[in-house]
Amino acid sequence: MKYTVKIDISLKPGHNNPEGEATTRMLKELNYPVEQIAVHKIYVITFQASSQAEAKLKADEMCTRLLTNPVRDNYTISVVEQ
Amino acid sequence: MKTQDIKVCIMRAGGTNCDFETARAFRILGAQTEIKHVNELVKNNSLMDYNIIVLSGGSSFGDYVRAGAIFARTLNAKLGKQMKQFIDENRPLLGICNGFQILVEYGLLPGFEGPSQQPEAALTTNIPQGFKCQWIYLKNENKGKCLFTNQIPQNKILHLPIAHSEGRLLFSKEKEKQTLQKLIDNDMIVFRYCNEDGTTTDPNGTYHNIAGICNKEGTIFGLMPHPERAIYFWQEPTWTQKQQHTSPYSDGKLIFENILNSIAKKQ
Repeated sequence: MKYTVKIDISLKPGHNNPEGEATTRMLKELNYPVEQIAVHKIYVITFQASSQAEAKLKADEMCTRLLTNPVRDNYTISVVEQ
Repeated sequence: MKTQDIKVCIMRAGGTNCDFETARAFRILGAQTEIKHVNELVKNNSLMDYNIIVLSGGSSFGDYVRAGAIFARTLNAKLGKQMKQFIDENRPLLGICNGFQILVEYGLLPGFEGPSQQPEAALTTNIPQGFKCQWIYLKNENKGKCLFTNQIPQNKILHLPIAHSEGRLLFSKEKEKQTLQKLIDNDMIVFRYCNEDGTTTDPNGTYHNIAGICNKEGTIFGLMPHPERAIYFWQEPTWTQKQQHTSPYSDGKLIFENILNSIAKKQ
């Protein structure tokens, strides 16, 4: 069965967030009352798996083997059946 | 081993740059150099033909996912066995800029217990954010472990250029202090950014002003600055202001010379 997974990668707490800070500054310059921006990266991946559990397991493997660096990244996985 | 018998492979993939400059640096010092695409090394099964492997600068695979991440996994997947043999035999491996990012993503640096399954560090977005392209000073803090710098006097200051967006070295927040202590205890810190007078400076927000580290054995060395862009005196930004030049060369040459001497002495 075909599954689509959404992997949402964010910065672990405590690490600096220069991209969010630069964007916050710019939006403030544009007169938006922005307090904080967290920049996330989202991968939407479609692939074959025998079950939702296997789809999630495979997505988790993708995260640990390539998509995230455990030193700085947190991630969540949500699975959508197609 | 004579310098002219030393074979250096500069490994490239899509998005690699400075491979020609790196090859020239080794060539003018008398070594044999070849620039090889990673697929060519896979096809010919020829990684072990070389005495030194260099991963040069650039934005391999477009820096997609994270800088160096895809090249690191490509190397591991396609050349993993040969890479392991190369490393186990303590043959030197150099990563410059993107090459350093690749070594970190591969788990070879810092690699406290040997190559790690997952990265133990990250080279990430500069602070302040943006591409940093400038000449900078570095202090050699290594006490003699690193095969690429062990003939350069400790505390000597070198002048080299940097050119990167993701050069901020960081470690897991929970283990930051312990990691730094391990780096110091094992003599794995090689270069730290400094001013001309040796006081530390911070061009990109990197932890403890670190610009380059080596593994515990001193055979794998990664640095963000570009020594291959500082071989001749006329590459220095201030060369026209100097009245006299005592040497035709610049500081980057010291690193290439050092590793060739280390191999020549060893074998």
